[in-house]
Amino acid sequence: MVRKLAAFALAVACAAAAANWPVIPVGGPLFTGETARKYLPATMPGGIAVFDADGDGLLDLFLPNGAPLPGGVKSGPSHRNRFFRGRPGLQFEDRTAAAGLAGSGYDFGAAAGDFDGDGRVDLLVCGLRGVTLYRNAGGSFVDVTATSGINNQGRWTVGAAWLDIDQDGDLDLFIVNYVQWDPAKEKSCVVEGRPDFCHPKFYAPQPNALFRNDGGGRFTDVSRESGIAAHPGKGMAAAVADFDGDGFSDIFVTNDRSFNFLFHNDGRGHFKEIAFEAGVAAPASGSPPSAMGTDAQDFDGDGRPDLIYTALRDETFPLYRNLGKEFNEVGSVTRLAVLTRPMAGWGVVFADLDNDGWKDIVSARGDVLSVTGAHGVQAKEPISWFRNGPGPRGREFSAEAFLGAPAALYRGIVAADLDHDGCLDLVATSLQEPARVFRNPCATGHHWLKVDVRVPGARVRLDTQWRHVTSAVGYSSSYVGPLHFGVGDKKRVEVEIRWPGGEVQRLADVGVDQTLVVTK
Amino acid sequence: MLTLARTTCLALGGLALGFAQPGPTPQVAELSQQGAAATRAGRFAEAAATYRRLIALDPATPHWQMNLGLALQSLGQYREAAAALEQFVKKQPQPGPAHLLLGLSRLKLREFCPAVAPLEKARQWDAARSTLELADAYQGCRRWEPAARTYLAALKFRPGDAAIVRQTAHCFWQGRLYAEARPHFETQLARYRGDAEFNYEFGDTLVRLEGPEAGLEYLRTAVRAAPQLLGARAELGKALLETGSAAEALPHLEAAAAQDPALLLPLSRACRAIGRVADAERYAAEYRQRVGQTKR
Repeated sequence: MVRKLAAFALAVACAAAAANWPVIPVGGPLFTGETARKYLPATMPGGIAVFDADGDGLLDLFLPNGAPLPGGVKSGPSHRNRFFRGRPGLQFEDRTAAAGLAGSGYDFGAAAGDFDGDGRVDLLVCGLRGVTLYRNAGGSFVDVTATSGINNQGRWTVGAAWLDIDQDGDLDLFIVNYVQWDPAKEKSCVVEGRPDFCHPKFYAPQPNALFRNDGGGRFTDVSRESGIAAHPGKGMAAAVADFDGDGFSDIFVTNDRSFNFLFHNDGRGHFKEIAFEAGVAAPASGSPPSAMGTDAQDFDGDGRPDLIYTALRDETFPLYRNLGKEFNEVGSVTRLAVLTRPMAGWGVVFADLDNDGWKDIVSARGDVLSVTGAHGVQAKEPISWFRNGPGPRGREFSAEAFLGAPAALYRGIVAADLDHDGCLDLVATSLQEPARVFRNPCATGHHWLKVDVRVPGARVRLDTQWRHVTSAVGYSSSYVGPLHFGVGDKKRVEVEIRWPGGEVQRLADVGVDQTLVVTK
Repeated sequence: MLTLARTTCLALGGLALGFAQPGPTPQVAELSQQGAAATRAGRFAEAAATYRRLIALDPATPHWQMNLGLALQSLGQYREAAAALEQFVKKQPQPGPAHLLLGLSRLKLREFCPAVAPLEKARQWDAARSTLELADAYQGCRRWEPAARTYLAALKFRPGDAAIVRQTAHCFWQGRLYAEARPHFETQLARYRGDAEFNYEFGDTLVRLEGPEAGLEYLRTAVRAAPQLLGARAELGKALLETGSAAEALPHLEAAAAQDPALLLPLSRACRAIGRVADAERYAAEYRQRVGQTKR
């Protein structure tokens, strides 16, 4: 079924591509709990979930928030997680209390997904001492962790991804666990002569977790039998995609200063870790970087989901082209390595911000170190937009910072068309500051199409562009909403949807500048 | 390090001795005169002995500690000098010459991190005398960015000093601030044309700023001049591999991998690229085992 939702007027053409992006703060400053003691959790928040919680067609925002350390228990209004209902005109109304999403512990990330198949998007919140599962009950959310069977055993969780591992039509849950952290054993670290956060080498790894959805709101921990638990790491983020085209969703996990994981899904409930075989365990230089946020989408138009992850200064943001069975690191030939060399990045997302038909890369930047530490205020960095364009050896990236993005310790970032003008806006978090919405001035005059399929794992082709549905984005963040395509000057396009299970649906001669809602 | 060879003469050349405070006993006044005379005449052992007696006689006057420190430093007894000067600056914490002497003693002892704090204070007292010393302390303490910026500041007092410019470039490079390092390297290209370390650092800077092709010429020069410079061979090997010259990269990566197991991964790639599949797999397995152990 195809339904035309709406068509919107385009902004005036020919304006400068790098026009100022109006910045809209959302709520008050987020709380990190940083003290002179530099407990590690204080540098790790946090992500964003962007989804339509109430079904009114406007995207809402959920912002996990910290708590005093070392206890990690919320004790005041400034520590509450935040839920903002989207209102027309890029307004956001704080509905945290009514939604029942204030939380109680130190939280970092969130994963949105309709786990019970009732058409309402539910929410998993990732925290210092485990996870909390909220079922969307309509006007509010209900904590169903205890009855769900999801027990992360108190592990420090920074992110998660909903995916259908077995193609049974419901959403299973992959949880990204960071390091073992015990405040009683926290070292006092000095970096370049100043107290600062400790290197990840001082913390032991721990395994990620996988929970199978059994229906009826119940989950079973299949971490061990799936093979996931056999690989302890220092997980920072997950990207979900069918990397090898066998029809099943695989999981790429970045690890902080240790080898990344690529869990290949055999479709029979087992995952094999193949990062070395696929060439993504470490960058070509051989030194495992401080791998942070990650995203997987097809940036070069060959139909295969590619990979990027962020890292710290002098490590570059490794970019991999998917060759089918393995990956080729293309940081040099795309110029991204040179551009990102001086940067420290966290959240990252493939997003066509100028609607030219090529996915750009956007990164939320900021040092892991404190502004009171070794790098001082230079730890703050802006958001970077790397534009995807033609180069002598294929696709290349060029950088331009947002004129409206102040330097900050950015962490999570999500691209979403919040104001329904056909251009992707950005939502970003930064430490000890309000979250910010960056409104895309939508000034290129290019056309667009949004395709709303809402089935994780579904792949959508628009002429030669591909996107797949995944709720995991960048660092600790999540997006559930229509897939966005810029189409440049095209007025009519062909759309193809490849549903999990192999069914293919084609829509010819589709008009642009609209949102298609497509159900299987 | 630009200052270690000249610390003593600097100290003697410009620093005033402390003298007895008003109202000393006759014995203290006499010893004070003797100590000063011995110091001025270069009889430092005699001066040190005199000031030790003064400290015993008049422990409440901190200046005897400073004068003892100056004499001991002139004798090359830096550990003892530092101990005496620490006593002095504890009682007289305002920035002054004792902080410079203390910092210089620490530099001589190659105790670079402990040298930083007294030299930061000394710089508040007399920037012309202390800036270069502070830069050296930062560098020795591996605080690369403040070292680079302090060397830059030192150029104000010694304009055009090539050695200081070289150190500025080196510290920016070590601090991974390649864009800031580059112009300082470029001003010294002619002077350091055949210098292996210079070509390594500049070539590496260009690789990181512009891509692997940009630095090849300088990295090749570095390796020709000093084949034992394994850092240069590592960067040359990686740059050659990135630019499609796997066969040429191979010997450099092999040599450098003995020191840095992370290079086993690019070495494996180089072997695979030229068809040495068995070697590629062996290196990959070794990489996984050795780097996995060190990183977890």
